[in-house]
Amino acid sequence: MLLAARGDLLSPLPTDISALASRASAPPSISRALDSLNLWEIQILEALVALPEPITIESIIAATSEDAKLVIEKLISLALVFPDEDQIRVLKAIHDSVGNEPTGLGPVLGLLSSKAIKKISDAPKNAQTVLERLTWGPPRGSVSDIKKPGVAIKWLLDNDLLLAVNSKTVVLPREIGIHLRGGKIHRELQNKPTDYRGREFTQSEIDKSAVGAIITLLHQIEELMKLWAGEPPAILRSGGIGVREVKKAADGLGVDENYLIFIAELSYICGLVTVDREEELLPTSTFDLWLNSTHDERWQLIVNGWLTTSRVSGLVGKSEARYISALGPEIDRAAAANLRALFLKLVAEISPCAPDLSALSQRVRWERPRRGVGLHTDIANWSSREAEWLGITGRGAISSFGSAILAGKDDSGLSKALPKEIDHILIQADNTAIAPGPLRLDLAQELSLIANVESKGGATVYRFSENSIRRGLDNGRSSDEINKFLTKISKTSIPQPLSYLIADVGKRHGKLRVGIGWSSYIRCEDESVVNAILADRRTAHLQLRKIAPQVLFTEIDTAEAVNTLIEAGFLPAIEGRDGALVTRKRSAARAISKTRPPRVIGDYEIPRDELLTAALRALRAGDRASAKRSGVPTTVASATPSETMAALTVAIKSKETLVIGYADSDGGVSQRIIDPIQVMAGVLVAYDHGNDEVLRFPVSRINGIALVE
Amino acid sequence: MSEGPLIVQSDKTLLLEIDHVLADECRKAIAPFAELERSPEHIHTYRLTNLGLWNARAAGHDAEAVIDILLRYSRYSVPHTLLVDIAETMDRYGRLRLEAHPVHGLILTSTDAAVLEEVLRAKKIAPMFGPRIDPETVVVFASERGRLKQSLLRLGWPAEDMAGYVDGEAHPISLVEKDWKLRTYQKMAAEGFWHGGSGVIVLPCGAGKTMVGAAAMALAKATTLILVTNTVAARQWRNELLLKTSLTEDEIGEYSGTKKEIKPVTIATYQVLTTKKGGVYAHLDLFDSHDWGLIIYDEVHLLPAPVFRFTADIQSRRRLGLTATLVREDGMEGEVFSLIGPKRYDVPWKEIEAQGYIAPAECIEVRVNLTDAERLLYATSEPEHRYRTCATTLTKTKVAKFIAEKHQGEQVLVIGQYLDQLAILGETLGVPVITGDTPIKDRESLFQLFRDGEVKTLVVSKVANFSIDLPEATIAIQVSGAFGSRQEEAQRLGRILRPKSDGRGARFYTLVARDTIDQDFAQNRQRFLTEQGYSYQIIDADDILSGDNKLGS
Repeated sequence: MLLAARGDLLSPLPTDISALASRASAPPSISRALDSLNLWEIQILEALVALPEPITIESIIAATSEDAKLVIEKLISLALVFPDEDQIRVLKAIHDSVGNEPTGLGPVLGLLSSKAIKKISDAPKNAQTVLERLTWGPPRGSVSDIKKPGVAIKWLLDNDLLLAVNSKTVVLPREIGIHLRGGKIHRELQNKPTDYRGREFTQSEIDKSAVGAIITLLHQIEELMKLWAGEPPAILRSGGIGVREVKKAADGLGVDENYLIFIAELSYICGLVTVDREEELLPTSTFDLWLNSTHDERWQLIVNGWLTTSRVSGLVGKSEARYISALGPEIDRAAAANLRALFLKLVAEISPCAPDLSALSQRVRWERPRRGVGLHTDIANWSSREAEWLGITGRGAISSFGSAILAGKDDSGLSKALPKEIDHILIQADNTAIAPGPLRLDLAQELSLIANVESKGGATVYRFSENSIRRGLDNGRSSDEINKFLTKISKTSIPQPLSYLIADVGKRHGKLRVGIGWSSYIRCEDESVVNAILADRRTAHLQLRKIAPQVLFTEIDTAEAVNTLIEAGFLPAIEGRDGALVTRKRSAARAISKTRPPRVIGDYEIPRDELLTAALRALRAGDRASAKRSGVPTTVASATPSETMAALTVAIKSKETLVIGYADSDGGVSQRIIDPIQVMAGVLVAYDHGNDEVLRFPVSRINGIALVE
Repeated sequence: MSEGPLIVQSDKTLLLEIDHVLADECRKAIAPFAELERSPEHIHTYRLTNLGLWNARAAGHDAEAVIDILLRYSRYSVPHTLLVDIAETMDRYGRLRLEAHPVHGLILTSTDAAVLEEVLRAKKIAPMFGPRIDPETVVVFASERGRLKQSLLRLGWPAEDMAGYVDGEAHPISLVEKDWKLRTYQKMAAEGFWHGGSGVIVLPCGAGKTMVGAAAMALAKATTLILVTNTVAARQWRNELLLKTSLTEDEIGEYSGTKKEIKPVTIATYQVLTTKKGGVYAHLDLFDSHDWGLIIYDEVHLLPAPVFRFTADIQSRRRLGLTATLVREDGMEGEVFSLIGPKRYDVPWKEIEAQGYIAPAECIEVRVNLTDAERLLYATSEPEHRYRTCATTLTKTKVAKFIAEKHQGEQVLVIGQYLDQLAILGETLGVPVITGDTPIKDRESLFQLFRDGEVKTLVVSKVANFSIDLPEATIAIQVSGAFGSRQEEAQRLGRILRPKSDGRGARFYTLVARDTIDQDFAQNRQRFLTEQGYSYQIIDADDILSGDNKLGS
């Protein structure tokens, strides 16, 4: 139970129960546990700290409300408070973390208090006013000089209703404060969470909207990667990419900047893009793998990246004082994943309703008052926006794919909801081809080789041009093959201008050839073409020389020569050393550096059952070990390596049990009870009683050794 | 997933499959808010623009209705972000309203003080405002009404103009439907305009835009100022009006370079309005000379900049724009919309063709080769002369002559851009040439001879691009043009689209020099027509000259 609720206790695994107990009461772990409480539970804890001892269930109920009982049970199960006969005791670390003046109550007065309380009704009017001012905290008030107090203050001091802290400060004692608060601790009890239910939708309305979002998302990520492969954005010296790159890409994709930042972050988190050679951003080979997986797999990878990341893309550009850049180092927020998960859980709870966003953000704050302070509203708003973009929600409410993925199912059901693949296109007289639905991947790839994509979405619009046909030819297709392919997949006959275009480009392709190398030659059997190139001023910078009637020579390299010729309106093809045409494969730029997705800063996950069982077994083994080691020396005398080696050799021979001081990789020294088996190449192989298994210990890390008697 | 006819793309285009049973219903439903961009044979493309959505709001459609239509007809799911975007865009309309105030005159008011504040802070429009009356109201100088609306549109806060129109001086005008009847689409167009107050009607060439104008005048029954491109067009308007309305010669005046008459219905040319005398536009006073109830802009896509500016000043009068192609190569379509008014009516060319009101046309692109010498010349020519060099190749003259002879007996127009090229063509073909230098009188008599069938072939320059009514011309041969102008191509095709007495189809040849910039321009020029559903056939000039291709005759 405890381990399940406080996952941080598992790493590293404590050796036995007493180690667990001491870890559980250490401030860092306590602080983590407090972070997971809601506002109501925090109030109860505050009340427990504020009320004078002894505290019983009854007294806490009196100071708060009847339902405090359930909370107390939870706090006990979290090992934050513990029952001691009929009293409830609070860990000291909690007192420290709540502070000296819980909920604005002053120090404990003690025995004098009951007498003092009786005096309150006699207080003169001015004194009453002072008391009222201090009732709800802060409990301290300033006076000009404690030696010459005013009449009211003097009266209060005399009757122990105020205490002097120093020469200028007085304080209202805790018992008096509680009395004045009517025996309560809080002005308002937060035991009723906000209802955030909004408009209701049908599941099919929700899913329909979500599918649209998912298709857009996957498509836009693909487009962004392709865009960046062509024009990789430079990395700023401070990390991340600049405003201008964001604007450029957003314009290029025709999307909102916030959306662009979001999908850019996702691509980065999921390793589809990485910082290459520390200077620019490039897609990775992971992107190619991703592209070749199913829609469902693609989507799940992205969603999982979002669910776990500590990066908050909404922060980009938010601060006016300092620009926080996209993909930069400054957008991690430790609480992000936790609050995001909470957000989704809350939305899922009211399915098929969409939440009322402002009520929901209040609810998020209520659930986790100590996490991400100041970020609650933002994270709720951003999560809502992002979940919608991701299709986890549709029209605000959780989609069936979203709930499947949150439940950890392998199949989100997305493939069934996606529109069916089609295997045909319609070609029209304006040189466009339309695939009125998602085109089969192989057809889409082939088609995009010979036509440019003009518009994407539910359908795809392609446009044919001289350049696009030429690209097909450069990639080794013949005009016949292109014609056949189009005839095969087009439901409509191919318009005459298009077949003319294909034939025309095919006829001319390869007539003009550029030879490969650092310098290039250009040859064409048609001399007038050669003369035209030579005469054209746009090719002047190639400094062409005519070396034969049909051949030109330039010292410029092939790529440059080819580009210049294309710009001038010629149709060059590249010729290899053997005289055959070289097909130019479209090779998209990819990162050379290893993919380094940003690391996740954040919380311990809720441990899975297998892990818990294993942990319990280890703890019990540890207990057995400590039970056995009645004669274990509490500290192990330090030993030099040679002493250690000598002791080990003896112990191996006589099969004795040893206790060693062992420095683990974190630098901490722990004591292990072992049965040494052998020493090889500076490493001790031994049975470890604590872990109940044979482990290897580098001898250099053993800093002490002793026999167990 | 429903099997609707509409596919909503994430880039805000709508694809409508026209063979679908629901296509017609869907087209009618989306027409009020989506702009028809392309209408080729199978799938029409519409686009959602801010302007279109605001116009829909102005016409009384709210965001919910628009979203509902998209969801109802959409085949696939519609991206939620798009729906949100539509709702947000439409919500911006009408936050600001221009109203007539009994005391302060023209005012701008808003229910949302923050929006008004934002607008008032914009530097460009601050000078258009008078004193602030209260947090939600500010006085606007009446003369700035048009400019203000334009600027607000650019700021993304289009104002709803509630200030109304002046009626102008009443004048009885009615249609005289004796041996003809107003066509259904003409009637719908005129009524669409009248209900909208002001706006633009888009109809193909030859579909009878003049009659839409006349019908609008008959609805307004007020003095009318008609602005046309040139004198020949002015006379044509006059003749049509005399023939088909109750107007008499005394009621129609011409205001052009030669005559300066101002009558209850006055037809003026753009040219005379933009003529400067001593650095000022001398004739812009025409707008104020009369209490016009209606102003008609013929070929509104050609509206010259000074008239633009003036139109901004006359926002309280009803304005009707007429055009076949609302594409401006200068990208000022938006200005036309905000100054004249939104598009009120639009039909694909092919639909009018199907109804038989314009002749079916075949478009043929003939690829001609440059001679070796011309090729060398082309390669060495300066960029600014490049197009001229290839577009005027002598081969074109040869091919044009061949085609003209092929169509002997039919009425042929040879259209080109360059005067020397036209002169050579006239000489080679042995026919008259009409250019900007030809006196109006000679022009009119030549056109009349052509109409009467006495002259079978004419060589014309761009003066014949617009508004010239040549009903029996069936063949056009285009040899050169104003670079890649899409609307010029469409207008030229329009010259031969009048339905022929014998129901014959028209043929539009365009001669293009192979492997040159001419070919690139041709592709751009053809775009508008192919998007309207016309299909070009490409043939080689060599095949025609050698007789391999008989041109289908």
